[in-house]
Order: sequence, then C-alpha cells, then structure tokens
Amino acid sequence: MKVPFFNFEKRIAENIEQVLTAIEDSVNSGQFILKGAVHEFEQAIAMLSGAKHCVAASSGTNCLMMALESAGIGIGDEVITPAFSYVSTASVIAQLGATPVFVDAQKNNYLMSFDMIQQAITPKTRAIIGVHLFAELAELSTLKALCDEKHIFLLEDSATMLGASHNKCNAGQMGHVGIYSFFPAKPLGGLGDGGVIVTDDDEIARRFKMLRNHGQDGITRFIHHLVGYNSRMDEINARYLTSQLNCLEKLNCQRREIMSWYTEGLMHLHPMVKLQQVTADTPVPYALVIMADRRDELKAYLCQKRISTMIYYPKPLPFQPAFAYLKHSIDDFPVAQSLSDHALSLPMYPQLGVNDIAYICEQIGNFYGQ
Amino acid sequence: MNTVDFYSGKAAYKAIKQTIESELPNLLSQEVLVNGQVVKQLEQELQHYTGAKNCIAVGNGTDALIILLKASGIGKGDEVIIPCYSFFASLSCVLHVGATPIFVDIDPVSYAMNPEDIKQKLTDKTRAIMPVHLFTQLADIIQLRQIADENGLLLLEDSAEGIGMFADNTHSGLFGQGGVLSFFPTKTLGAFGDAGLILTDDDSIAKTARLLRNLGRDHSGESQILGINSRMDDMQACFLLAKLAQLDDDIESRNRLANDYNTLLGPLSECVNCPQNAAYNASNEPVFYVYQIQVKRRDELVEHLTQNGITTETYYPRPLHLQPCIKHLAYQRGMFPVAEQISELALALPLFPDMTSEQVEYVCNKIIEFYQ
Repeated sequence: MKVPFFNFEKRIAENIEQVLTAIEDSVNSGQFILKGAVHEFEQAIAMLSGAKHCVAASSGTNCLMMALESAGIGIGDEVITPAFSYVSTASVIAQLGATPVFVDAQKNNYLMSFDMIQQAITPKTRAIIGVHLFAELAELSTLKALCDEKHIFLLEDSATMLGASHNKCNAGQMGHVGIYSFFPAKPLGGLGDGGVIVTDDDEIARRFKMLRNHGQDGITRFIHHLVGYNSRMDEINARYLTSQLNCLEKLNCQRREIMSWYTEGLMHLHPMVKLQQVTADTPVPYALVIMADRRDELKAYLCQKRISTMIYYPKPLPFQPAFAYLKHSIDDFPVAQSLSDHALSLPMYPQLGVNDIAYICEQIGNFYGQ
Repeated sequence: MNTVDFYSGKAAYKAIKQTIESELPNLLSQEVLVNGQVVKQLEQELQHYTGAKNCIAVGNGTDALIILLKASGIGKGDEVIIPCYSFFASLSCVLHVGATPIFVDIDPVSYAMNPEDIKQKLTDKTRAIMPVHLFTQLADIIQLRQIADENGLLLLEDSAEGIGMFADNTHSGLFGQGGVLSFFPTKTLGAFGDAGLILTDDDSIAKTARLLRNLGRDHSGESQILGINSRMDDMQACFLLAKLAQLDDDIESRNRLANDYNTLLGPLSECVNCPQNAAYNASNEPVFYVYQIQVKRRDELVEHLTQNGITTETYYPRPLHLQPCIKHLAYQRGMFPVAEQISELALALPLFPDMTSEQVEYVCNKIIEFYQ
C-alpha cells in the first residue's frame, strides 16, 4: 500500500467541476483579483468565524505580517512567539524590523504555556503571537485578558484551525486578530496560496485593506497612502474556496475521525510513540505529529513501506540560520529542541480511509517490534 | 449601447480552454500546488523565450522587484535611482528593502527615465539604477548601461511590462544584473490572477532569490535567510504556459490594433498625441502592452468615453514623488515638470489581442466626436 503525505490527486479529481467553473466564472466576469468573489468569500468567513471583519490576502504568512503592521508593530518592538513553529510566525516579526522573542514549548501539547509567555514580557513587548499547532488549540483566554490590561496586541495564528473551537470560542476569535490560511493542504484548501484575517477591530481592518493593495484606499486608484504590499487574493481561488465551504464541517469531522483512528492504533506504543495532547472541545487536526523514539530510523522504515512522512519542525526557529543574529545558545530551548529531535508528521487528510491508518499504525508497530 | 472593456480575457481563455480542461486535472495532481512542477516548467520555457539564464517565478511583479533588489544586495543606506513616473511598485520595492529612492524625470516620448538627469543625482551612496520600460518600449538602455558601468552601479530593470521587448537580441530585464516580469491579467502575457517572475543571468542573485521567495527555506526546510512568502500557483503557471504558446501572435495582434488606432487618430494630431518610438528605439520593435495617448481635456474625454461604454485607464494620475506615503521625503510639485505634465495628459485606451478593428473604430469615433 502506498500512502502519500498529501493527496491532491483525489481532491482535485473530486472537485474538478468546481475548479473549472471557478475559472470560467472569473473569466466571464472579467474580474480576476480582489473583486466581487473575494468580497463574497470574506463575508462568508466573517459569518463563519463570528468576526466583524474578514479581509483576504495572498497567503497566511502575509496575513500575519500585515496584521502586525496594521497594529503598528515595527522597529524596536518585541514580539513574543514560539520557538517551535513554522518559520512564518517569526520571520514576519523580523521583516517588520521588530525582534522575535522566542518562548520554549510544553512537552505534551507542543505549545507555549501562559506562564512561559508571561515571563517573557518586557516593557518593550508590543505583541504576542499565540499559535495553535497541529491538532491542539492554545489556551488564549487568560492571555487575552493580560494583553488587554497591558495594551499588548494578541495575534492569534489560527492558520490551520478554521472550524475549531474551545469553550464556545472559535479559533480565530480568541485574540485581537485571527488568521486562516487556505494553502492547498489546509482544512479549507484552495488552489494556491491564500489567507484571511478576522477581527472586530475597525482600524486594523481598514489599515490591513490598504496594506494588501499598495496602500490604496480602495476608492481612488493610484494614490498610495501607505507603503503597502501586493498581497491580494485571486477571484478564481475565492470562488473555489466559497464552493468548498459547505463541505468544511464534513471534512473537519473526517479529520477528527482519522485522529481517533490514529489514537487507537498507536496508544499501545506509548512511550516509544507519544501523541500530541489534545484537550480542545472541537479540534481540527491539521497534522498528526507524534514524538517518536529513533525518529529518523522510523521515518526511513516507513518510507520503505511507501508511507510518506514529514518532519514538523526539523529545527527550533531560534537555531535556524535566518535567526542566528539573535545569538541564542543551544540550551535556551530544551523542550523545542527535544520536540524537533523526535517529531514525525504522519499523513492526515480527509481522503484517508480507515485501512490507510490501520496500515500506517501497523507498520509503526512493526518497527518497534510490537 | 456598445461597450468596449479596457481588457477582456474571454477570447483568450476560449483559445486555451481545451488545453486547460484536458491538462489541469493532471497538472494539479502533483504533491504540491504552489511553486511546483508546472511552475518549474514555466520557468524553463521563459528561459528559452527570453534567453535568461535563470527565471525565478514568484507571486507577483511587485514581489519580484523586492526580491530582485534584496538578492542584489540593496538595503539600508543605499540609494536607488528610479523614474518618478511609473506604477507604485517601482517605488515601493526600494522602500521595502530599506533603501532610498532618488527620482529622475522622464522622456515624454518613451515615458522612461531621462539618462541626462541621472548624472547630477549620483552620490557616493548610489548603488543602482532601475529604469522602467513602460507601455510599448524600452528605456534608453544603451546609455543607461554606460552610466551604470562608468560609475560602478548595478543596472536593475523594472521590466514588468517588458515581455517581448528586445534590443540587439537581448530581452528586457537582461541588460544589467536582472529584471522582472509581471503576469497581471492585462499584461502582454497575462495570467488569470497575480503572478510574476525574476530574470537574471547572475547565478548568485538567482540562488538568493529562490530562497527569498520561499521564506528563506532550502530543501531541508530550514530558513537560511529571512525571506517572504511569494510563490506562484501552479494553476496560474498552467494558464501562462498555454498563453505563452500564443504570445508572438498576441503581440502581432496588439501591434496591428495599435496601427489601427494610429491611423484613425492621426487626423486629430492637434488634440491627440499618438504613441511613438523614441529615437533611440528606432531599430527596436515596439510591443503594444498599452496604447497610451496624450490628450487635451483628458478628464472630460474620459467622462465622454465612459458615457459611451468605453473603459479607459489613467497611467498614472499622480507621479511617484507626489505620493502621500512619501510626504516625509519632501518632494514638491514642480521638481519633475515632464512627469507632472504627462500625468495630466496621459490616457490608456482599450487594447487586448482579441479586440476587433470595429471596436478600435468605435473608440476612435467617440474620441473624434469629442473633439469636433
């Protein structure tokens, strides 16, 4: 049996009609970038998330960057962010001339804890990026209260979590601004890069709209009020995403079911294999990242068995060359380092069947001789 | 009422529809749908078309400029000489890498930077000259290269509009260290969304640009340098590949329609200046990306055409040095008289390869009607 890490083949085949319709409708409308279909998609996501504003851009990464910039973050500011995460949550801070202040992870759920964040706050802290990872939501309600009190901007990186919730609060609505990414592999996957912010803050939404389109105010073209970017969503992508929205709940349920199959199939391998601790009421498992003994050997073994895996994330961000200038020492983030040494991401997408998961778990069991 | 859109992609899509419908399902069934195999194929085909040693596909033309400047080592403290008349990206890319824009005025015929103005702007901080090739033709690339060479400056080209523009068999973007292409839908080679590309013969710039477009990440997934997320979607690459096969025909159609415009508007020479090749481009074929005229009572004419169902564009209503976002640089009206004047006269008329001669005629009749 062959199990690819992603499977767009099945997904595109299932949805080819919607893909071609999205293209044709855009061509016939004569509108290609940031027009009616994008607006409609923004409205739909605003409704779904419960936020007052939803503003689309060309990628989740750009959403993070322009959200920070809209909140006034820049040179000299400190922004707290996880050591164990995808690079975007740190690079966007540095892009704006601010300083990423890295915080180590917790062993069980791979996320930053409230206490650790609190300890990292200094008088220069202007923002915190609260990141949800893989299948678990970060607990942000206490943090939000603290941020409100200290006038710190809480950016919620809910890139992978559209449809997840905890304590009746939707992922994306837990900070001052939330984001969703529509990278093809995401729960709501587009035909290319894309993202949105959601927020109740009028001023941030207004500035973000200008930043994404060359600093123009959306009324008068070719007058540039801010040194903005080109970060716009295409109409074709927006149309396709809108067409997929009604399947989201079903797809998310499938993801939860797949996670439960994994849990069942891998439980007996503890402690050689540890699963991410998930306590969210309604998680949306984007990735199934286990901590595995002899990880590299396991990865090679699975590869032989034609099971594709990835390493999320191979090196804590402070130790990557792009952040060497911050001069962190190897002991600064022991948990993140240990996670990077053991993390292995197994296939996780709705097109997987119970037999696929049984096969994967069986092979992992075989590797450990169980 | 007749309507003439400024641009329409309907016929263009119809021409490639069969190809897209048969190929897209396979092309989108790869492991990745962003910066994947189809994008790679497009890069190769464009290397072939332009003669560039390296093509690096990115999310859009603006990002291509930012990445090109950054990969060329332009940054804080550096001065970059740019024309004060262009699309905003020619300015914003300089600001985004932390460098200082130094404006020069333009030539009223080619709309490109005037080389004569450069010499008095050179300082010991000048690092690069970045001409923009606008609408139909190249900037005075021979003179610009000479100035760059004599002063040890980089020559980087905003050739976003320059596909198909050659001089001495060299494609736009390749006269210095590198250039860019934009595939914004209305462009001579247009996608159906945003997309862009960097052209360079310099392997080291290419290598850095490849890292920069994908968050600085190399094959291991580690970020070697601080990058951005600016990747081309494979779907857009599919469109571009299909349209690239027809590019030469499209350019021919554009040039033929431009000739129609010239003929019909010729008698109005009192009120309407038709586009011309600058003397230094006498031996270079124009590529009519935009058919731009200079007219008296421009805003009234726009109004008249709009009432008659004709969509036009104003490239550009405000020169770059007068943009509100750089107020702090204290440039004033009057500093660049040519650009300032042209921003009040310039008007772009509808032009796309599948436009009919009848449509051109309709537009011209309405212009003639206005001035009678």
